Amino acid sequence: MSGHSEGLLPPGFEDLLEFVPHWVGSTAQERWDIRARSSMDDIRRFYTVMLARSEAILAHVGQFPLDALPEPVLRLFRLQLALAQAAMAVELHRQPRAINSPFPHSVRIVRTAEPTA
Amino acid sequence: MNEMTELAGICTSDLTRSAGLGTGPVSCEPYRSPEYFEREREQLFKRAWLTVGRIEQVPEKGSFFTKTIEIWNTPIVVVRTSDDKVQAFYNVCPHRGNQVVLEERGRASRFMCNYHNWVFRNDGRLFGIPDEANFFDVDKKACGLRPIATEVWEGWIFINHQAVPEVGLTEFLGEFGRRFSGISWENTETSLYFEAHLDANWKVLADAFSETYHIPSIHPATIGKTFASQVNPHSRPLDALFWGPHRQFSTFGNPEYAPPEDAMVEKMAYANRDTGNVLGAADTAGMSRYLDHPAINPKQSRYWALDIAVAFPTLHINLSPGGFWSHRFWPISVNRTRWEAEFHVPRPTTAHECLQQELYVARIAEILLEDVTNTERTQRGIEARAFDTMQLQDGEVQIRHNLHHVDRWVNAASVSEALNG
Ligand code: FES
Ligand SMILES: [Fe+2]
Repeated sequence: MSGHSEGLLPPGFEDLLEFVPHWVGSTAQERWDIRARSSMDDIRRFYTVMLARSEAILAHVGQFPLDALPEPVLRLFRLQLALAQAAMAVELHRQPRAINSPFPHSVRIVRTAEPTA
Repeated sequence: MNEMTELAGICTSDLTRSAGLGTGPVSCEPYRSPEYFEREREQLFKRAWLTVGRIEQVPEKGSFFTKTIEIWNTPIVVVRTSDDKVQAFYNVCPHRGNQVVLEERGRASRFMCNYHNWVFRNDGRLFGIPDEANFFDVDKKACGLRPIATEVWEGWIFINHQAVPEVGLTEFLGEFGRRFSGISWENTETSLYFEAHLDANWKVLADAFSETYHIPSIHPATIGKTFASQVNPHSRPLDALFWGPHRQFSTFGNPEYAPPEDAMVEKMAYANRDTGNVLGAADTAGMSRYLDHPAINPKQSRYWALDIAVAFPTLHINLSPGGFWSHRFWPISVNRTRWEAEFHVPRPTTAHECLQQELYVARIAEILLEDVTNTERTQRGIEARAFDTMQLQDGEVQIRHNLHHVDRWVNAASVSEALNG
């Protein structure tokens, strides 16, 4: 990442900048779709790096009110939430998508209770 | 004690015969016959009470939501009127038939049809006609929005296509309605909402959420280990109870379930959880009032996972230790269905809770995906006419019960005959 990406994430989280273009989705549906379209290698790399950074991310995000996260913090938070999707592939299916399930398909996560969505 | 005897002490057997149902193969025709579907439309879906949502969707006077009831070919609007009554209307303008309310949801004291600006009060009464003087003695009283019979049970909004329903909602729900009343429904205000359009008969969808026999095989990675164990490897149900066309099905849970060693995210997210159920997004503290209801886990089994309470024909309420959710099945044609699932959850208040809930959402989405996309393969198989019947085991008793009552409704001359006949 070059100078363009400066400020995309809060200071101290520059190591995660490479994931921003691919892994930031603003709703659970988008994050689901991103993971379903990713390769297992990409998912595994993202998962490994993010898992190690989760505690720091949650602590950082926790300093702000959830309904008013500054843009870079919101972006960081959405990366964190995408880890839940990566975990489905890594911890459950051991492949990008559920076994024997078609893709694309018509199942939609229409609405969640996520306060920043 | 050998494992079969131990299982017999946990799971009630002979559910099918105890319910007075036959044990032979059942016909595939109700799943693939266009004629049968038309009879379902007229005799079942235009006579039974159908759930369209919950009262929390219309929280204040003037709150409304719109919906299309495909099986009636009818757009509707459900309103909490200014007199605080929950009422559904045909969303159809008496002037020349346009749809009056176009928004999906909102709040209004009046609705205006955007074609020629006729205006209606939110209780349906006609309020005003532009250039009324140029009409010919319009009977304004007869030109309100046409109401649809609406009743509420335990916060669930039911509608009936009959202008004057043969049977009221209380009588329709009968003992089922009494048994499940007074539940302290938790987290009614916030929910996760899933939807899909599937190329399958509505009963294939309903069947997919009516037995646990499929869980170890269709959901090996997602929930296979939470609903089966060594003593119950094929996930037999704990029990099933029936009241007319309605029913309850108690499912088995593995009390020994723990996240696998390498499920790092699952462990991190649930590090502080105090609920025993991996499916539960809420903590147990606020849940005890809800769980204490006598209809929930009626056997008080330590192997209880959740109860499926079915208000025939299309509302499945799932009551689990973490809260409740519902499935609703909306037939479109003999082999097309819109399916809705709504999981009631607390709104997360911390970053950590958001991650927990995101994990919950992600896992549910995988499970539902496995369930509902499988229905399209099943439908194709049924329509291939390789077989005229299907085989049902005792744990699939809900499917048999449902087919039995659907058939009764499509053949009954009256609703009371269908209910009591
Ligand atoms: S159709 Fe509604 S005002 Fe004319
Ligand atoms: Fe399932």
